[in-house]
Amino acid sequence: MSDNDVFEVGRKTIYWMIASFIIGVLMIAFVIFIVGYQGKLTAVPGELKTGFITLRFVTNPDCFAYQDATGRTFPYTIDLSKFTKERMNLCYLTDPEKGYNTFNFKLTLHGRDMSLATNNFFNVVYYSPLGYAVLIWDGEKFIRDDLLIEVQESISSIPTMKGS
Amino acid sequence: MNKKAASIILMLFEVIVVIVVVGIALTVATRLGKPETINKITAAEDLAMMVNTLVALPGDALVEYPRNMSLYSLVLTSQKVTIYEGDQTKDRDPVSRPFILPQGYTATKFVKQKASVCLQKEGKTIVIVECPKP
Repeated sequence: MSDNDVFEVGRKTIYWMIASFIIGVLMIAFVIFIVGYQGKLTAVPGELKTGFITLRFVTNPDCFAYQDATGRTFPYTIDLSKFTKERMNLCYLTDPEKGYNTFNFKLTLHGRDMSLATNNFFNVVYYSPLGYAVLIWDGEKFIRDDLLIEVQESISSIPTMKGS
Repeated sequence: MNKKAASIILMLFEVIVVIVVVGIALTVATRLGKPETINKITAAEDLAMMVNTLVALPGDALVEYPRNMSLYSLVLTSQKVTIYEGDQTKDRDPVSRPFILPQGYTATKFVKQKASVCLQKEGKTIVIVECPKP
């Protein structure tokens, strides 16, 4: 082979090294684009999902809904005696180690200034709290109140405390 | 090796690379862009939300999923719902969506390629069944 031939082969080799890298990047970008488009087609708003999940807090007697002695359940009526951390863990308990990458909630009875949070709630909220107009059964009477539910969507890791 | 031979080899290499790249792109696009994949994802999302809604109901209920699921197999467990295309043993890309049940609640059973699929809640048990015929 002449010097020109060697130069030609060398030039092609360098070209294909660069082209392979660019083709690899383009293929990865193509896959990301397709997956992103698929995600857009199938996306469900977080607010819709949380609306269904949080219904249980006010309608299910195994959570906080009031149930009288006859077994009748009163939806949107909170039994104050059930509004405890232990009851919350029975109603909605996320994985202790990785539960931060699913929905977590903080419930606040506005009039009573009482709050309960799920076990992986770290106050990383992105949208306005959900609100339910509820009645509270305190053991003697029904009292009007508002239940505010702050929503924490999936987070990538547990937030660290600043200064610690 | 003379220049002509080297050129031919390089040209063949370029043609092969183009064919491989186009083949990979087409394979990825068809695999990720199949309507069945989209259908599985939307069905799994819908069924997970239906399970959460049934959990919120204080009594028993039977709810029909309003889509023809005859191409899919559905498996319900206490942690998630999984959708397979066709027979579940052959699908390598099933779609799952998790949910969280209150303590004492269970979700179970599976349905294989039935057109009409229902979620039924009885007490603290949620099952997926073929809808009863009217």
